[in-house]
Amino acid sequence: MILINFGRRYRLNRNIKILGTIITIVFGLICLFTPYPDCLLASGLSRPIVIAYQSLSRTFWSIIIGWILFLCSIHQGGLVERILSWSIWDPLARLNYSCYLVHSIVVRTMVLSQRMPFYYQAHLVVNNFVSHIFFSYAAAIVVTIFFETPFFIIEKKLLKR
Amino acid sequence: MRTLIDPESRITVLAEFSAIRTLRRIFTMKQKKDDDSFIFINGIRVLSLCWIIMGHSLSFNLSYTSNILDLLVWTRNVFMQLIINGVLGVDTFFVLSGFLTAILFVRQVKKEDKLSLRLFILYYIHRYIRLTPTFLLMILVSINLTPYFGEGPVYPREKGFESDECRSGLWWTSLLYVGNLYKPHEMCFDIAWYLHNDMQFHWIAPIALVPFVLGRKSISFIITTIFVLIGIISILSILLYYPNMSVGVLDAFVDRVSFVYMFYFEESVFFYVYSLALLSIKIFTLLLGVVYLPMQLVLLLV
Repeated sequence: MILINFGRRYRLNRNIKILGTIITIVFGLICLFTPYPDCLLASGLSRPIVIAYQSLSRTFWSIIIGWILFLCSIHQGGLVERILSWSIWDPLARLNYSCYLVHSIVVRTMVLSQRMPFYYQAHLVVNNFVSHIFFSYAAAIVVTIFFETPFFIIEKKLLKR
Repeated sequence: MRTLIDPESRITVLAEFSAIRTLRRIFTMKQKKDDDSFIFINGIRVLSLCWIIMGHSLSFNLSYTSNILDLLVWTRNVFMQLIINGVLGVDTFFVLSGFLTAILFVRQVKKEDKLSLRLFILYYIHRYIRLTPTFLLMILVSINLTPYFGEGPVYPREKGFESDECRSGLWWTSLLYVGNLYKPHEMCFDIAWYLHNDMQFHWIAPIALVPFVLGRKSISFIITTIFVLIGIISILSILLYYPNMSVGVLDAFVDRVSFVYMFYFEESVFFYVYSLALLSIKIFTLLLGVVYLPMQLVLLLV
């Protein structure tokens, strides 16, 4: 889209696309699973490796996201693009900022209100995830209505956009 | 209904604040089919936030579990790794923010055909007034109302979730978005370090963008490259300069545990306070790189 805007259309060579995607997947696996041996080995990873991971992982990760953004913005993202632009995300995306702000309050309230310490089991972890995400978005509806939208409207009126 | 209200009257302005109307706006799923909106970003945003909430749900719980050691054993599980690495989800937001800032800035300049002072003022003001009111109101809720949200033996019924420093007036750092630089471990609303950093990136982004819109693409390419290198080198040098600083992947994740355990292992108190204080400054410098990479990508293409 950027490119259409500037009067150029991008056609990506099929081979380049496949190569780029494979490299991206490899980067992704590196980012996600480099720390894994640190938990598996008793001695942990050696410090140089961890330092290298800490300093480079964020850059590598941004390359991955950058590649996804690039492919999707020239509409050649295929399946990934279709999933990401699924319209069910729209309402949730509008709640996203409020949800981000409110989720720590929601999660902490739910956690700290327990009478007894939690005994972790795999299904309870999943249970927690689902309920925390659900209640965060539910609370975000309230925050959006009362906190976010009024200021959004006032700002639109003020700036005459 | 529509006929009853005079469309010209001032009352109709008030109707825009209606909760029902807002709800309807939130839940419409009709997508605009124009090429200019990046619909796919919605998916990335929602999925990343879910990833982050998962990470927080686990890490906030750590301080109040009876089998915390089991959890440490679980890190040997591959799926657990995916959750622990939820910190990368925050980086995704930095990337998106850099991407959108770059595109919107360039697009706006192309539209107006020149770099005006007005454009700059709007560039800074617009983001500020979009984010700040909601953010400040949430801090207000967090300071004053969270004591009443729950109860129980461990629930902080007197202080709520905020630190003393924040309650006695440190919220001004949030107003100016400098919380990660001034007394970072006392910052109001601790998850908001992202907002502080992101706003700071927004302030300095024009350094790279202005040469670009002036047609000096190579200069802005060099500047973005320098930003990326600053990001990588700064974290590298911080880690090398403080050889005792913990770099384990889990350490960032169990920060909250360290808070609790801090009282039991007195010798480690200094260490934890130390790493917490450094954490946010560290994050600021190292994330510089993250924001500028996608920007670079955009600049390369256009």
